[in-house]
Amino acid sequence: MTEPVSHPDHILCAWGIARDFGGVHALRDVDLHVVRGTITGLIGPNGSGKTTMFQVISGMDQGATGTISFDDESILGWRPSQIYRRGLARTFQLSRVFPELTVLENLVVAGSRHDRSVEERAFGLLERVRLREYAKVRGKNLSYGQQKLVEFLRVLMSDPALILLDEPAAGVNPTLRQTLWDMVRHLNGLGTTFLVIEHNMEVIADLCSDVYVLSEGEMIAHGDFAAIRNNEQVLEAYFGKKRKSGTA
Amino acid sequence: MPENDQRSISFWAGTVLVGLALLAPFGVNEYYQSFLLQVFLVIALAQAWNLISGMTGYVSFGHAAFFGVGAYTGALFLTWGYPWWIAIFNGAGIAALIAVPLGFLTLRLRGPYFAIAMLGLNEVGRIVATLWVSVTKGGTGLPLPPSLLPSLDITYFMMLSLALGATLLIAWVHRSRFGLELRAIREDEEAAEMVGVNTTRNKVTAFVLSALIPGAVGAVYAMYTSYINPASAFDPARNIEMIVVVLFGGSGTVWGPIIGAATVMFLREMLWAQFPAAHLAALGVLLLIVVLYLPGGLVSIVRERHRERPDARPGESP
Repeated sequence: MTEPVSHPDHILCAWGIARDFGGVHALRDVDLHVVRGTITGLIGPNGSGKTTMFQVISGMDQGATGTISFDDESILGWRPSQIYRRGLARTFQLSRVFPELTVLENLVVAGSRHDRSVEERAFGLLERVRLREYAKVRGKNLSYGQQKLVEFLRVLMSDPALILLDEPAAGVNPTLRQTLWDMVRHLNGLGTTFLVIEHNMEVIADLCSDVYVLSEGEMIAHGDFAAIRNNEQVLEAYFGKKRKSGTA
Repeated sequence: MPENDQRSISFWAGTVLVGLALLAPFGVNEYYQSFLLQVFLVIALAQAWNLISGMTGYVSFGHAAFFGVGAYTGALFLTWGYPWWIAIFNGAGIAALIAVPLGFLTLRLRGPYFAIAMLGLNEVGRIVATLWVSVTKGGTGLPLPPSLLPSLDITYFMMLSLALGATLLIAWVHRSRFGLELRAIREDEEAAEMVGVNTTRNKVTAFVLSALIPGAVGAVYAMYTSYINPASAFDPARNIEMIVVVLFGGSGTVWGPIIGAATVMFLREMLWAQFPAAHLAALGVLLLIVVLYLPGGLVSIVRERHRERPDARPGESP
């Protein structure tokens, strides 16, 4: 664990995050720093602790130890709604739109209570992904891909400074997937920071300037994608132990 | 049907019903007036239950406890010589006050755990009313001197006001940001919290509002019956009645509890006259049919006709 000293360029700093579930160490002394204005990748094999890390950062898992600062403010122990209102939003691995609410309501509920133009903002976002005509359709009547897209739009309602995306493109058709990544690039260009969990390495290579690799709850590597892809520990985590020469 | 048309129909239907209810005491005998008063009582209780259980998804099996608290508070204030309106105000206030800490404690529980905790609350209320003899007169009950009671007409209009007030409250909540947040909590509480909804604050507010109404209704009920005891004030059957009425009419809707209360009360009265021994069983069968074939309640018959469709469907496949 490094000393918890935040850097002005870092929008999110996590130091020494540990989370146990009974005897299982889901996260062990994990450090992670996200530079403001970047798209940072968080990768690792299944079960490595990526989603647990998101749960801890977003306040949904209150059982972790360590230090988390967002925009120079310690947020460990805050309610998820407080963290969201502070400017850190997240999406879920599996779509969690509100099934009985309309698409418009799904977006409006995530906007500010005090924003009088919250509906206009929602319509504007729907327009951008050509879902405006679905505004009055209930969440449960959308396709899975559309639900994921609506969930992504939902977190944009608060104009967050940092968005955690948990496999946003999983189960989404190629057209919508492209729409989604285009939007991520566009928002990043406007200054929004992203931390992305993604299994598609082409996407990670294309989008992320910085990549963290988790394996069995430990942060095993950090750097740009070119460095990560040749890292022995990373290859071992993904493909198993290297076979010694001469063995079958 | 456009949304504005639906609102317009709702408004005019509501206005006509309220007009008829206001005129009823001048054109019907005491039997029908009492019957209507009981319908209003059930509407108000069902709307209260609808707020916490229908809109927020926290199914309560113990809201009769607030009714009981209101009934005893109202009765006691009347016997202490306070005017009826102060008795009602205090009935509602004490029920709401109890609901604040209780909400913070019980709304941490979910699903059946919350339901059972609330069922326990009703039992606690009944036992306290039985054992606190110095105040409640225990199992003997609390008779109210007729000289202190308002007339049937005034009691009727009070109950009508409570039913109307509860319905207007639900209608406002339904259209408000607060209501939207409650519905988001009902759908997925974690996801709601994750998009900035302060779930604890919203749930406790809904819970307190849903306790306030039965508190006031209980106080008026005590004036109507002029006698209460622990069994009648904390009757567990009243919990079932609230749930049945809302399920019959349509949970989480404004009109559901009204339609449900009118239908259930009318059917109960009819079936009771026709099948005195088996009227509850017959009502149970009817409820089963509605729950199995119309899970959205009777209002869903109208809703299903106007299911939403997108204006156009882009070529999207999952």
